[in-house]
Amino acid sequence: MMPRYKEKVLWLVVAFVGALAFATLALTRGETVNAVWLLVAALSVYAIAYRFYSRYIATTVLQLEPRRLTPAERHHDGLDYVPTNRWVVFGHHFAAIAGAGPLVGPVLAAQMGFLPGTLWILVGVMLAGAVQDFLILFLSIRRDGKSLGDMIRQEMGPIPGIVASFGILMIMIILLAVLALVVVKALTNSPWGTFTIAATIPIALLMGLYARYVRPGGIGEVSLVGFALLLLAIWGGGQVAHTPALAALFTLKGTTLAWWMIGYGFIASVLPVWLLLAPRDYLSTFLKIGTIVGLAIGILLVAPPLQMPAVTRFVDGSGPVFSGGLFPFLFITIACGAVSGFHSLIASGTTPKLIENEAQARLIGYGAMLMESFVAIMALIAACVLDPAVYFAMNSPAGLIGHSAAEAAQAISAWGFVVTPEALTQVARDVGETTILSRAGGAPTLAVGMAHILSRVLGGQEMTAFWYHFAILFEALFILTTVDAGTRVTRFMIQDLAGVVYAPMARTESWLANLVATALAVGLWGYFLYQGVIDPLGGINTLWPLFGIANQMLAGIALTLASVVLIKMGRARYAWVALLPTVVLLVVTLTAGWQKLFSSSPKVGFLAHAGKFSAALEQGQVLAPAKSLAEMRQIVFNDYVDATLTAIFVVVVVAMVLFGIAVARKALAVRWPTAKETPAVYREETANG
Amino acid sequence: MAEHWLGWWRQWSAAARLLVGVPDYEAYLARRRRYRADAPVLSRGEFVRYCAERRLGGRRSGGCC
Repeated sequence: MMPRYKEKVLWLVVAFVGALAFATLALTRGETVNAVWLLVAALSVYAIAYRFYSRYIATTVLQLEPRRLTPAERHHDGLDYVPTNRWVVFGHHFAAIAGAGPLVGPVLAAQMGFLPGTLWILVGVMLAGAVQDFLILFLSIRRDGKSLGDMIRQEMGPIPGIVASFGILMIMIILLAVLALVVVKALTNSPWGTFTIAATIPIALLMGLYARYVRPGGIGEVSLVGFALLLLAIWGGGQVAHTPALAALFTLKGTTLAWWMIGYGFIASVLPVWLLLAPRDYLSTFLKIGTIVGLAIGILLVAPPLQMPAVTRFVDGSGPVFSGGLFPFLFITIACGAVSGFHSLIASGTTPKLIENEAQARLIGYGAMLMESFVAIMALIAACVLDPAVYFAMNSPAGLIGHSAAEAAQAISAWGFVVTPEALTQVARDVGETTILSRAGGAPTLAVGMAHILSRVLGGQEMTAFWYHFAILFEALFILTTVDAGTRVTRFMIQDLAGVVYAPMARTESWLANLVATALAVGLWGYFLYQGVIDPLGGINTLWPLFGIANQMLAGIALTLASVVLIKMGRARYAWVALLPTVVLLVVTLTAGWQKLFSSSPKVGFLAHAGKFSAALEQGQVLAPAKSLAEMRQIVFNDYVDATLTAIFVVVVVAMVLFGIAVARKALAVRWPTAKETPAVYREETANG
Repeated sequence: MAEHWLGWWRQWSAAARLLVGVPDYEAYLARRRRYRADAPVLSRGEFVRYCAERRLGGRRSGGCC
């Protein structure tokens, strides 16, 4: 142990360094700031938040009991319940929570400059995101590793349980659609990317068969072989792109890719898990961890300056990447990295069954989320080291910047980010593509940013195209894994809910019921995907806010549960730890939901947009981007679908809060704790697990 | 020395396997057979497939973001 005064001095130094970094970020005007300052500011915030706030939550709010046996110890079977070293569990949990979210959101939010996004990521994770993950993990550990849905049923009642399940289903569908859209956007008219991603399917099948019949359980071995084949596929993609006959074969339109995705999603999710999904999961997980580490090292070595201004003029809500003002839309654009409802599903999944001591919930719940937030900061950096004009060229819809480099350069220069058409074409050529215009969705921007950084560490200019396609591959790989696994989850949810109405649908061993539910699952996300692909505003513009609202609402539901349980435990005076982020998320998501529904600006409000197009339709006019009256009708219809979905989200979350208030009032009316924990069993003095 | 490195390698590969949701098979065997040497166990292949199905099969809502 360090002497107390030394520890105090150390934390003063951390606080001072952090303050210095923030001052540099905030006060530098008119010249570029080095990205390392951003990393330093983030790390000092994480250190302070972990040391002080998470300790307060652990010791005072939750009163973690190191003596109390965890589910892993009580049911230790080596298979489902396995007491595991805390750093190993940390790795497992981090790998499970870090996905596409923290990479996409910050890139989109960069349109407002690097400062607003950074501040929300840091404050959000400290007071909301990491708190949610920690609380839910704790609740699940105290309940034998129960899932979020089960805990809601147990602590709040069966009807809130069904409402929450329905909400989670809707959120899944939007999540899958938007992730699939990110892949489609990255691969449209990109023969190199399309070939590489297509090649991952036979590679995964080969690995699956090998691991099934040749070397059962040889995970490391097949992963190494698979990785080598992936590198070969990237190289092959380059050859394809340079061979006109082959390139034509792999140059696909967005709509074609969307149909391929839908078909793939259906077939992949009815195949046995070991054949395609599991081997690709190995590749994507290992690649993800490796790339994140590589990016961190790259940023530190290169120490690139941030080209994006601290704050751009688009904080007023007129930005091309997503519409709507800083409040509330910044807070829903960056979900993962600041606070993500999805983590509540993971924190109540496998992780609580691995923890060997309750006291470690702090490191794993709070700590792993800080690490994910760090990934979000790195994604933000990767977007902000690019020339802002390139950033806007990549992320603005064709409806705003046109289809050619000349038009785009003109439009973007008019926004104050001066650029020549040649410069835009040159960036595309550098990364081995014909165009980089309107590749919204975060992945390609991040890929260009990563290529920008990594090529300076390894390979130089000639390797830029390789690194770009490596980054695209890495993102597409784990997005496809999520689409496949998520379709399976959605299918079971549909069967569960449909079973309430028509019992035979719930029979998971029935092939017919399975196929119908799978088709329904794929059809639902496929509908939104297709709508996003043909959306003239680029789709991401419409769907990402919907996803953000949904994800933050799930966080709101999880935190409502946590607040209710704290009150039921008799800890009402500490419940503010959960109530504070709950209230913030409610204000943000309900405002965003309201604006998405009722804003009078057609750029923001679905109903206003539908109104504008219906009015034109009545007069027989065709408004750009629609090209026919039929397309006009389609746009109006889609607007109503999106509006309905938003309304459903709002109703679900308001209902959950009302249920929460009712349960909390009952709990406050009695003096004894009413939380339903699994009864405690304590460790012997001598034994340790 | 060799034993030291072997232990180190075993620990790291077990940690890497848990990243994809597969716990240590040897530890599982030891656990199952701690009282009876002939207790029924899953084979290594079955063990890994069971874990993959649990992690990705969708019966428990998971997913990542």
